[in-house]
Amino acid sequence: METLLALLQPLVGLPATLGIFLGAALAASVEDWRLSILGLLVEYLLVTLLLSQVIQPEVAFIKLIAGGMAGIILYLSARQLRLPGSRPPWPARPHPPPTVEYLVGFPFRLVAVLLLALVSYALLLNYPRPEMGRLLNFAAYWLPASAFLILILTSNPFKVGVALLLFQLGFEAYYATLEGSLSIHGLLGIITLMVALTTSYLMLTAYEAKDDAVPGAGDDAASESRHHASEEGR
Amino acid sequence: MFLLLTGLIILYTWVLPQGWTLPERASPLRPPPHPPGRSGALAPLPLPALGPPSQGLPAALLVIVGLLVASAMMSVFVLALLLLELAALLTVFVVQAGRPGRTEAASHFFMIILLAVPSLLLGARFLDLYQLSPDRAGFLTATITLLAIGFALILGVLPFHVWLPTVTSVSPPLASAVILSLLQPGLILLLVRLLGDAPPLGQDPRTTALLIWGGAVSALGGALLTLPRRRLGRLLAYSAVSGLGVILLGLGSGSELGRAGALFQAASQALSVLLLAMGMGVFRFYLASDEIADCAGLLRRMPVTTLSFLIGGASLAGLPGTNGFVARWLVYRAVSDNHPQVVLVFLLASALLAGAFLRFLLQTARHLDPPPSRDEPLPVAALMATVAVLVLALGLVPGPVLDVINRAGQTLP
Repeated sequence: METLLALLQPLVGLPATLGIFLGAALAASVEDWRLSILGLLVEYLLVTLLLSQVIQPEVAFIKLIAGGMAGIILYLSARQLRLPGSRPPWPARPHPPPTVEYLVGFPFRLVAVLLLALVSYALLLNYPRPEMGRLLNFAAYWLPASAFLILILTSNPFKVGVALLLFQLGFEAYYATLEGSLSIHGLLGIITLMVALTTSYLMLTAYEAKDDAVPGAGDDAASESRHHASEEGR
Repeated sequence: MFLLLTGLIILYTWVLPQGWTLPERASPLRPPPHPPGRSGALAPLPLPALGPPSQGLPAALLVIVGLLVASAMMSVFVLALLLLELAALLTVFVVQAGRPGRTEAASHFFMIILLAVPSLLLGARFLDLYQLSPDRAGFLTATITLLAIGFALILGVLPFHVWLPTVTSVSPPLASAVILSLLQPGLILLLVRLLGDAPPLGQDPRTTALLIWGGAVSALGGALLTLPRRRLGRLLAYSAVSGLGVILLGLGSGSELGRAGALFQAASQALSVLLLAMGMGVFRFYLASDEIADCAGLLRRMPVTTLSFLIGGASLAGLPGTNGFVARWLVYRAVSDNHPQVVLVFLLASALLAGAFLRFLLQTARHLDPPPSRDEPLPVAALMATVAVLVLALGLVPGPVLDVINRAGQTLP
């Protein structure tokens, strides 16, 4: 553990800032599941590194272990389900209709990510917590903000799970500097694993629905949204 | 003890023949609203890859009950909350229960837990910091804000309730029972302990105002929203939101009497919701529908189940003779001196809720031609009748339970 931390020490500073920004930006703006998981893992690594500067490294390492296991759970599930990015489970439509998901494509997401990064930076300047250090403070604002962006833009269970893990990590980055109890951090680690397992389960059931639907008839989330829209007011 | 009892009733209902283990079946009266295999809430869909929807649920239920009991016994708020979060995360599996059409509802519930709990954890931490340095009033403001957001989200206080009707109308009745009869009382207990543990928080006028007015808005708004509902799941959700208002009002009163009333209402509501969820499970199975319009003739077809369901509704509405009335009476007495206008709001909410269940009664009493023959799942009906008798007994002879609540209240800070 100490060797790993010593190896990663040169990253503290500008590389870590860029890494934290790019990791969450990747998860928020890119559809590919591999890049999303990569972004998530980068976040766990860098937040652990930054946390180890302000709290006991052993406690900080719980985040990396839990995050790494969560990443493995998500990777195995996504790979088994062949999420978009490897091979779509049904034939793609030649001319996709202008749905909300189509309109909020990569350019929109990129602009939103940049604007949110500015908001997080403004929060950092206006509400700093000196005992956290600027980098960790930025992570505590930026990660929940990017998680909210993902939650607003998609109902895909995989992306929702990634967003919730980012949110949880951002919260833990902040909370770890306030609370030093090992049992609480252990429980938070278990919760991270439960979040990954629940996400896998929801991905699996959503995929079963897609598999069952007529090819090209729209995804599960869209059909469920239509169903719920028709249910409104009943 | 109460959580354990409720959990065991839920588990027993699950195990009973014709209980919640059975999937909804095609209606003999009316075709299902969605074709099988699509996203319809009631459409049966076998999932070979996942196994039967009910597989593994008893184990999950036992773990949920165990975690909740451990949470109730834990003296440290943060640890109790994290155990409760684990129980809530397991409940996501119960909400989903292996049916694709429920993924969105399960995702909503999943998101609410993950967004609310950090807010509560931070709120609790800021409260500790405030108690260490009481001169920094900003900590108390942050505490009140974060706790209000967290509890409003996870309890489903109006207008943060939007996830609840989705979950109750789409997920199996078992999930509604777990959320409203187990998780919600567990959270209320945490809130009661937190308010008692930290007098600066419990006695702050902002906390009192948030509890009283949040309760009033939930009670009246929830009751108003029950009126246009045509589905049982949504009727259950909005009735529960309205009942939650009474609990918040009792806690906002700041008196021993109000706290006892709030705890009594939490227990009463858990039993009433259990009755509604059991009844909903039976109706969904026999009618293959969640529509109140399809319940015509039910009073004749399954009288015990329907009457027990209605007793649950009457208790939620706080009608005299039920345990809900006793809880409301205690709360009204606690707040009537300082906030008489709020009591009027709650009486109006009661009347609206009673109207919603009266509409259901009139629908079930409608004559069908030819009249339906009696067709009732006896084991579930017997269990429902037992719980209904308990609801009435607690309404008529509340003394022993109130003594227990008062004794429990004295052990709380």
